[in-house]
Amino acid sequence: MGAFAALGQARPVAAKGAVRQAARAMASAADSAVTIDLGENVFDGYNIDVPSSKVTMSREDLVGLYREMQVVRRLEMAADSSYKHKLIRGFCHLCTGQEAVPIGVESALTKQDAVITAYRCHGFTYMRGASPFGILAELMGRKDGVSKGKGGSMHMYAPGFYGGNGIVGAQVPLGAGIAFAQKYRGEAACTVALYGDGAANQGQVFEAYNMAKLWDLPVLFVCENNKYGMGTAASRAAANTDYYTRGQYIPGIRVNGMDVLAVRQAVAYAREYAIANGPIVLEMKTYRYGGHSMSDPGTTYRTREEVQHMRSTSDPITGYKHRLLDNGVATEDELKAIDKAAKKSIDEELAKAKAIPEPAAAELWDDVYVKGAGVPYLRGRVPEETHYFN
Amino acid sequence: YPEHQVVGMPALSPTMTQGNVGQWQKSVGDRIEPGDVLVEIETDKAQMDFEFQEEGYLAQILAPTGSKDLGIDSPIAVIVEDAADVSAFADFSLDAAKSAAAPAAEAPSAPDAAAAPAQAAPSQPTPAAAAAPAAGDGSRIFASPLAKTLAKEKGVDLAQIEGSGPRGRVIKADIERFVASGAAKAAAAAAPKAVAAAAPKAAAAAAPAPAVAGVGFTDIPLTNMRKVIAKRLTEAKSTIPHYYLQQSIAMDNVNKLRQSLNTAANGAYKLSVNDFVIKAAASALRDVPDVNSSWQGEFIRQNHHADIAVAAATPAGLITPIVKTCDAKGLKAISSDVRDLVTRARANKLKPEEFQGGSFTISNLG
Repeated sequence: MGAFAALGQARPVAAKGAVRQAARAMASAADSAVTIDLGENVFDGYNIDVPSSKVTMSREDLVGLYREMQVVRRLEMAADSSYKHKLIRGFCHLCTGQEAVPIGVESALTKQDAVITAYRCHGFTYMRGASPFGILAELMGRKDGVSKGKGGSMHMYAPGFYGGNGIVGAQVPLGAGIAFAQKYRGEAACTVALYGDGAANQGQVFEAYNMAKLWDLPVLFVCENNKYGMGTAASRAAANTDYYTRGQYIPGIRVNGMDVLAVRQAVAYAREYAIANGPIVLEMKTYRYGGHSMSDPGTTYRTREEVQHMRSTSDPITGYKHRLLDNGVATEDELKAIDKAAKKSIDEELAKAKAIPEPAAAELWDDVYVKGAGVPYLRGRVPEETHYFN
Repeated sequence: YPEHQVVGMPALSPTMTQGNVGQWQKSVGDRIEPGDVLVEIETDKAQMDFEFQEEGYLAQILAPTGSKDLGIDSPIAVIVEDAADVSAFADFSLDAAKSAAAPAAEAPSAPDAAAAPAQAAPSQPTPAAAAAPAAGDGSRIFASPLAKTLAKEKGVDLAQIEGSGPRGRVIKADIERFVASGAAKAAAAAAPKAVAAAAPKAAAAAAPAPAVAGVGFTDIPLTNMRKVIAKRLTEAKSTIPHYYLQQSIAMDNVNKLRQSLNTAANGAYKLSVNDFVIKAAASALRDVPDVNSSWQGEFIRQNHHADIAVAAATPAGLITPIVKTCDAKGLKAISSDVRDLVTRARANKLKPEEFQGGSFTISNLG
């Protein structure tokens, strides 16, 4: 409990619970900094020195990471159950098990940085600023969703977040382009372009690597390696499964993607590097418990035992919980309270979202073109559906 | 009752509207971890495991193994957070839970061009009256896209035009001829059928039917599989032209070959007469591609490989697992494939792609 020895004066205040709880709640950031050692072999470097494995953060920030991971976990579970009740249709790719990545990435970025990813994007959309209500409403195609109910699971956007992309790997050259714009405009910011182990073998990814290195673009190419493309094991798809070395002339770092602090540390380090020097590749070794999407049970190409094993030994939330308890950052009760609060808040947001109606049919024709740069008419799926803008 | 969650029948496939309850993998009082299989569900396509994503304890099973035709969201179980609450549900009944047995399942097959979105029936029926879909009888008017555009421009009702294109398709020339003949004052397009099509399809309520014994007869209930088989066979028989050939074939040489191959095998394989028939059929299909074809309505599909389906009787009904590319396989490979497929078919462990498709079927009555 060494971190709390430096608490200073506890301000007398009518707080809920014990005085010690109140004191903790009122402690300023400077008082409650905690240093955690991530251990050995957390990072592997390719042509670059790895970041330090010692992380120093304030208590609030550390607990905040736990809270966010729990919110994303419950958000994905709500999406799962809504899909099974046919409230969500179409594609739905959940990141249950991979929560450490979106939370870790966002915690190392600023609002000026940009993020772009593929379709496993609900966690990122939330972390970039969308509300769970907006995300759930969008999944169910309701008019108050983040994309007005017209985008669905794979087309969610937020400030500084470019989606939400359906074509495998296509977001990587786009990410390099966003970084190009940032450099062109002289912004001290980077772009995080994420892709999966399946997409890592796409040709366009290597084209993006080339241009990024040629022009020293501030882009972080982050491979979320969850060991399976849709159902193909990485070893059966890639000749080189060390995805952090695939950049060849671009340095790379491999990170334990189930450890939120490691992800944060690596992204912070890489961000500095990218803004100063140019592109860098990160590989997050992670795992998804569900199938590739809701249409995939996820047990036809791997055993249920493997999934349960990962759940019990490497879960990002449980692992982080133990770390917080071991380092005296929080108590079991506090974390349980956070769990309950997250569940309750998501349940409420889901109920709110269910009550919202779908967008009106006439809205189908809006938001296709920027105002002032439109066309006189737009064709629907058949000639009878042509819409004329007056 | 203490705080609990009523678990409904999940939609495990996008087209599923109802399912049957298979083996329960957990008993009342068991702890459930996220990812544990709660129960096996028989969907419209296959038998799937229902994984539960939350943690808790199974307090009560509302739909026992064998319950049939439960609509999506019909209550099947009760889950609680604390083990202590389990006993409170010993006599939990369904009237508390609102019955979701008649789901507001939208009719996904609604044949209207301006397809109304799911669930809440649209408050304003889409005004773009769909002229193309014929009224209610489900038959499509075949017309080329150019003809459709032209018809729309000229305000011509496609239903009134006789097609002269391939298979009676309405083509541009037909529209022009029609217009030129002065019958241009066609009736306005049929009233928007979109509204009617959006009326929710009332799925049959859940009424698990045990075998009913009567005087002089016993009614045996049907599995989903049997229903689908009957439907497909009727469809095939009534929509596909059939012709029959009969031939007697002396199998003496085949039997001699079979015996010699089997004795030389030393237990590595055992060929059956069926394997020879499959191989012979595969070679024939390769030599006469016209026979390795299927009628697809608008065209005939000629297959390049002989994927031969072998009829296998299982306790649940007849199924035809497919041995792929028999033309490229030898007798030994065919024999082991057939054995493996039939074993798994009997254990109900076939994947959908293993019994859907195929261009040729062999039934061996024994």
